[in-house]
Amino acid sequence: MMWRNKWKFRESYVICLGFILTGILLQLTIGPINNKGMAWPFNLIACLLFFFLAGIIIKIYKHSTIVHWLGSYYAALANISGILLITLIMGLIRQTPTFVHLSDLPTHLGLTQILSTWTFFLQMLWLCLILYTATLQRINNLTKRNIPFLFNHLGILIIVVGMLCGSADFQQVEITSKLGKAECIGIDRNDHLQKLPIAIKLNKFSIKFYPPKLMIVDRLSGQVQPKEKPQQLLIDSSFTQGKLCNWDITLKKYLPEAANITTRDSVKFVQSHSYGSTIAFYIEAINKKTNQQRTGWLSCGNFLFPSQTLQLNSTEDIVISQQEPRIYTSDVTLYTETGLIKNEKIEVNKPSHVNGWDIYQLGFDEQRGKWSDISIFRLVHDPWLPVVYTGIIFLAIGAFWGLIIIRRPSKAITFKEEKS
Amino acid sequence: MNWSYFTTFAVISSILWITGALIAWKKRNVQIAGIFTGLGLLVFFTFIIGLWISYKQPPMRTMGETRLWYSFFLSLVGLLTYIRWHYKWLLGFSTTMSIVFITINILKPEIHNRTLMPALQSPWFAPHVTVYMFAYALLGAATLVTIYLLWFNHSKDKDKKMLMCDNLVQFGVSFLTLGLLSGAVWAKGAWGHYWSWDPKETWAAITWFTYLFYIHYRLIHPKEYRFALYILLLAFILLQVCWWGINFLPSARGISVHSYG
Repeated sequence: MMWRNKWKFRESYVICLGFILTGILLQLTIGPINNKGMAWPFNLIACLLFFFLAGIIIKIYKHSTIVHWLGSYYAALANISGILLITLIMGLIRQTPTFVHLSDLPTHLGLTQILSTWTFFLQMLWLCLILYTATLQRINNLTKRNIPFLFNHLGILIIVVGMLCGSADFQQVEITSKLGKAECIGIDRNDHLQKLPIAIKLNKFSIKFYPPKLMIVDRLSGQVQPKEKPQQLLIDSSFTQGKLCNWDITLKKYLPEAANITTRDSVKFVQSHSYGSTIAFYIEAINKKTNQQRTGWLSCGNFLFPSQTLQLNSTEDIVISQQEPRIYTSDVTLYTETGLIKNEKIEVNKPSHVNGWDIYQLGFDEQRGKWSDISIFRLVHDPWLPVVYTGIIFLAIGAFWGLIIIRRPSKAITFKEEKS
Repeated sequence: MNWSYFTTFAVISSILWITGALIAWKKRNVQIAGIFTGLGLLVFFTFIIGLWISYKQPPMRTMGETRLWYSFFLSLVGLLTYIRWHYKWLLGFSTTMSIVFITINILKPEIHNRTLMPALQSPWFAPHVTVYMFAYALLGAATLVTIYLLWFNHSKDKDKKMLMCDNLVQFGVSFLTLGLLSGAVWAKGAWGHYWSWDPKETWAAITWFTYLFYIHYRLIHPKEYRFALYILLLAFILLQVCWWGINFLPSARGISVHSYG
C-alpha cells in the first residue's frame, strides 16, 4: 500500500508533458512518422512483443510505483488530457493529407498532419499501456462489478491496437471504370497510381433521381422566395396543382425525357428518348392577387441542354432544381489475378467483397447524370478490421452493461427530498 | 403530415409540458405531473410519426429534424428522471430547454429538403441518430443539473444531486458510445473506413474524451464538485461544437462528409 499516494496529478501531468515534448523533439529531428516500415508482419511482431514485454514487466514489478500509477485514474486523466489537447488541435486546425508537403511552421510541427506526429503516436502508446495495465490489474482482482470495466477498457484497447497496427496495412484506392472497359489502376491515398490485383469492368450504370423541386427565385440574388421561409414544391408523380408564394401552379404537361427545340421566338420541349434527354414541365402560374397569368416550359437542363426558367414578373423567376440522386448502381464484372470472374451489383451502402478487398460505389459523372458512362469506385483492403470489430463488440457490451448497473438512489433519499 | 402542422402540435405539447412542470413545482404530485408531461410527449411523437409516414423515411436528416428529436428526448429524459428522483425543478428545466429548441424550429425551420442522399439510406441511419439524440438529451439534462448546482442550489449537501449528475452522464456516455460505434460500423459500410477523422468524428471524439475525463475525475475526487461541474459544462459546449458548431469552424467547413442539413 505504500505506493498508493506516491504519484498523483503533478507527476502524471509532468509525464504527460514529457511525452508531448519528446514527441515534438522527435518531430523536429527525424520528421513525421512513416508507418510503411511497420506493415505486415512487422506490426504484428511489434504488437506481440510490446504486450508480451509489458505484461512481464507489469507482472514482475506489480508493486512498483510506476506500475500502480499506470493503472491509476491519475495516469488515465493525464493521458485523456493529452489526447484531448491533440484532438482539439486537430479539430481547430484544418488537416491536410500526408502527401501535401508544406514548409510553414504549423506543418513542420505536425499541426496540420497530427495523425503522422510522434506526439499522437506516443499518447496512443501510453493509452494502450494504461488500458493494458488497468485491465491486468482488474483481472487479478476479478469481481462481478469489474466485468463492464473490463469490456469497456479492453474494447478501447483492442480498437486502438487495431487502428495503430492496421494503419500500415490499410489500403484505399479510387478507380474510375469506363463503360465496357476493364480497369485495374487507381489512385491511392497518397495520390500515387496503384495497380490493383482486381480489375473492374463496368457493364451498366443506372441511376434514379428524386422528383425535382419547383421554386421561385429572385433573379438578381438567386435567393429562393420568400426570403424568411423559402418554399419549394416537390413535383412527384401525384402532383397536379400547388401553391408557391402567391402563385397557384398547375402542371399541364410532364416529359420525363425531353429535348428542347428552339425556334426564332420561343423554346419548346418535345418527348425524346435519345442520348442526353432531360426532364421538362409545362406549367401555368396564376397570381390571384395581381391577376397575372404565366405559362411556359421549365427544365433543369443538363450537359446538352440549357436550363429553362419562366419569368413571373420583373424580379422573379420560377425554376426547377437539379435532380438529386436517390440511388445509383453499377453492374460490374470483377476479374482477379487468380482467374476468378464475378458479376456483381454495387450500390452505395452495399459494397462488394472479393479477395480481401471491399469495393464501394463512390460516384459517377455528375455533369452527365443518368447518361454517365463512368462509375467511380473505392477499393479498400483492411486486414485488421476483424480486430477492430472485436473491440467494437467488447465496447458495445460494456456500454450496454453500463446502462444496467447504474447506481440507484436509495428510497430514503428520494422520500427525504420529496418532503424537503 | 407536414411541417405546416408543427406549430399546432408544438403548442399543444408545450402547454401540456408547462402544465406538468407547474404541477411538479407547486403541488409536487408526481403522477399528475407525469401524466401531463406524458400526454405532451404523445402529441409531439404523433407529429414525428406522422412526418415519418408521409416522408416514407425517418425525419432525421436536417438540423431542424434532429432538433425535433432533441426536444422529444429532452422531455422524455426529464420525465424519466423526474419519476425516479422526484426533483420538483427538473421538469421545468427540461421543458424550458425543449421549448427553446421548438422555438428555433418554428422561427428557423431548415426543414425543406425531403430528399435523402444515397449514403444516408442505410439501416444504421435511424438507430445511429436516435441513440445520439437520446445521448445528447441525457447530457443536456446533466448540464441542466450542473447549472442548477453551480448557480441556483445553495444547500451544502450536494451528494444526492451529484449522484444524479453522475448517473445521467453514465447513461449519456453509454448512449454516446453506442452512437459512436454504430456510426463507425455504418461508415465502414458506406465509405470504406470506420474512422476517417472527419471533422464531425474528431469533435465526437473530443466530446467523448471530455465526458470520460469527468467520469474518471469523479472517481478520484468525489467531493470536489465545482471543478467536476465546470468540466461537465465545458463538455456540453464541446458537444454543441460537434453537433452544429462545426458548420461554422473554418477548419471543418466544406470538408465534412457529415454536412447534410
